[in-house]
Amino acid sequence: MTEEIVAAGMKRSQLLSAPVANWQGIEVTERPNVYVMHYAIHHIGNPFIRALHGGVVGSMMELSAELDLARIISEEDQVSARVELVSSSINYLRVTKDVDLYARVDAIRIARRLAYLDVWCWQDDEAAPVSRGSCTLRIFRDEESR
Amino acid sequence: MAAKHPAEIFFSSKHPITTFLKMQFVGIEDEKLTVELEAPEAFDDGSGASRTHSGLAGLVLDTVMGGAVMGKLEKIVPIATAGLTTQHMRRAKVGEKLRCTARYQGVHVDMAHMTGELVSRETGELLSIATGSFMIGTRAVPLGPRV
Repeated sequence: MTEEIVAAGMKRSQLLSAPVANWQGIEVTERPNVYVMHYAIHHIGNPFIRALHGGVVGSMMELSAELDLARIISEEDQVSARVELVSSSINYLRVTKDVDLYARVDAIRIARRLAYLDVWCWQDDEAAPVSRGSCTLRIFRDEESR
Repeated sequence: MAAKHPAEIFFSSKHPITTFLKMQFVGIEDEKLTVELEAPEAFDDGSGASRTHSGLAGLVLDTVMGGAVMGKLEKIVPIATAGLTTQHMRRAKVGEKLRCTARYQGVHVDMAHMTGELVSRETGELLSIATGSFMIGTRAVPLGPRV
């Protein structure tokens, strides 16, 4: 059921095949709320120390939040809805390096029109996160025109 | 010939992100840096409406605010984003001409504080706003010795 319905009248699998997901190199892992961004050279922000670009990390966190909200809505409500990020606040906790980046999404509160999700990112060790973020998302359900 | 502004050098360099986004340095005035670009198809959000994902706005705003910090430095040192907050009003359409401005608000010790906005170049419509804090002179070491 997980992949069947989802965001934007879009399935999570559709979101995952969108050009932006391709550019990010993002995929679902074996854990349903954990996503991986496969490292690519265009993710680099600081060529000298080969750290990931803060904006690329932020973009990956926002996309992960949307993907996971889409998954939750389809699983729990069994309805089609479009989700869209309203705002995000990100703290960069540690320096990153040129390897894959993981994001775990924790849903804090999902209301009828708004959802609040936290995202934690890491590379080598989940216990040593490289960033954390709080995301606010708008939910557009089927009955609601925009 | 007048020397290039440090921010202009940054945006004309072969940096992976500025090259990919084809960012064009417009100018810097009153501590406000302006850069223009077109919303790339690679950020299409897959909705079928030819819109780009909000992550593009965050990426652009972070880059331009960081570039504005670089433009304030007396000598080039690495910087790192410490915090980034963005709010999105509308997603840019694929191919839409955009203008991003970043304003230097102040620095305390080694933290620079910036604000930025992303607008449609043709209509002036505000698409996203951001605030960012940047550490000047990151102590991160090159990857080689670290791994």
